[in-house]
Amino acid sequence: MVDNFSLKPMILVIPVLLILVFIELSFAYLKGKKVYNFQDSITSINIGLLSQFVNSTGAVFGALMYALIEARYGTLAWSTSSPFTWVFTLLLYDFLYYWVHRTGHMVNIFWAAHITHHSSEEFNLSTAMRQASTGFYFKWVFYLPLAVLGIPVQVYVVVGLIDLLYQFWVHTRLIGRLGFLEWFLVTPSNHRVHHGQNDYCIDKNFGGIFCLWDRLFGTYADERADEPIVYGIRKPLKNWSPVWSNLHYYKSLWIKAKGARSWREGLMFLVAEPDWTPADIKSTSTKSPAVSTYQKHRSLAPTSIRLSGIATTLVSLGLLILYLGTRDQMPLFQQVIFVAVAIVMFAGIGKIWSLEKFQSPQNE
Amino acid sequence: MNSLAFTDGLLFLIAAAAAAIPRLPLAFRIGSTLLAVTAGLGVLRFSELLPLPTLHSFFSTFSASSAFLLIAVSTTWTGSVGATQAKYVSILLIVSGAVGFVMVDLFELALFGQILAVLCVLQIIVYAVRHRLLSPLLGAATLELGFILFATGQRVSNLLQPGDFLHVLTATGLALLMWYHWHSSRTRSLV
Repeated sequence: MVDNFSLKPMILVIPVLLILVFIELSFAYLKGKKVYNFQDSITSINIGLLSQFVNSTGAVFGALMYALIEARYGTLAWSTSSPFTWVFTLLLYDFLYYWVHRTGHMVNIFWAAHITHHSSEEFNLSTAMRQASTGFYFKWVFYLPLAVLGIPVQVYVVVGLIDLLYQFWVHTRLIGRLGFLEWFLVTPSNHRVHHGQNDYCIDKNFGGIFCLWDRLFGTYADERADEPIVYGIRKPLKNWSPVWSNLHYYKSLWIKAKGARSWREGLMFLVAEPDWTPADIKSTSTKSPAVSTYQKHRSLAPTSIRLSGIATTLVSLGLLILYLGTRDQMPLFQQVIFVAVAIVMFAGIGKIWSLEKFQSPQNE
Repeated sequence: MNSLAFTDGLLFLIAAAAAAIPRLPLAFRIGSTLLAVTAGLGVLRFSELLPLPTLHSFFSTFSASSAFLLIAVSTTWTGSVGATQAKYVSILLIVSGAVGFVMVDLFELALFGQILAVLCVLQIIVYAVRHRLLSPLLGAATLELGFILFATGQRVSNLLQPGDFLHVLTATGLALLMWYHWHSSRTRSLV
């Protein structure tokens, strides 16, 4: 198996991201700021690793559809050596990303996928790794205009990776406002707003690299100095399982749709905005939380249990690197086994960490 | 320049008019916009003014999967969110388009779009018969006739090709449906 190992960009990227997480953690420690929570961060990293297991196949489907459409309908010829091609693609990709992201917040069935990324109550570089495992089935559709324009698939993939990696560094509380850059770039400050659950933060700042799209379409909000941000979602996950964090909202949607009084109402639960309720039923929307009273989910698991989390993460990382490096030569059956083992491991550690006896909510 | 450019031009004019009338249901207007874009590209292609054959093919597949679905929704579920609200119309447009491309390009079911279009128009016919509505019945029947003549490759010597039947009858059917929506919206606004 190791003879067939080929070095993929993601194999190099993941360790670099983990090192950056460690650097941020060290800086925060030196500055005396508590921006990390052990279980939350390990869970975020594990969610990221799980998403790589699942999305490496899902992304292939998206890239395949893109390549098919580009080959059949691509209208113009673009030179991959021209800087114009790359700049134009980056701008258009980011514009389309804005709509993918906005749809992920506005349409319940898509929010079921994207909520995973928002389920952390912390905001740090590990939160950036908390990526959904289930979003691949719809995202590719939004990028088809690039394919129809004839942008080569390799340019699309590389630009997509650039757009994704740019968004890593903006998940931090250690960097303040960045002056004039706030006008056109997504920065840590305006992205903190996006992750907040305060009223003024809801459905704001969807940009990937540029916040111009938010300014253009009226979804931009500046960070407020007078109102500290409470991170996370209004109905907290209260669970450390990477698998459950990906599935919990689908279950709640399923229950709502099953209990609907008509097929139209059931359909509306799937496609309406996340807090939608039928007109004759009282809304259950929760109020804007305050930092002073908000209780984050905490766990008092013993050291041995905590160490098991680190061990799971390291083993999963090793498996993932092996998987990404050899997947192209693997039969489908073996790929499925790999992913299934990863899912069972993540589900197992999540289950243990989320045991009732280890839970102890504290007021922060 | 051939006859297809002229008949696509006619379809473009009718569809563009339907797309431009604010009083018509949003889904009907978006469906018409898609048809107008396809027909406009057809004019450019068949007149050889600016042939963009791949783009025309893309919009033809997109129209077959989405435009007639939107037109059917706006006619049979008038007043529903899928017919009137931008967000839900967009979801219908994107989802039906995506399904269409997966079926046609991934699974190579080339007839998927045409079959879907036929079923959508059939839905309008059933609705019109049930509610005894003449203009949507005539409109939908005209659209179906266009599909049949196109699919069976009918032509009139060198004058009219199968595509001409499709263009002319789609334009006529669309005009009749537009007439129906125009009058029903007028009645609603008077009430």
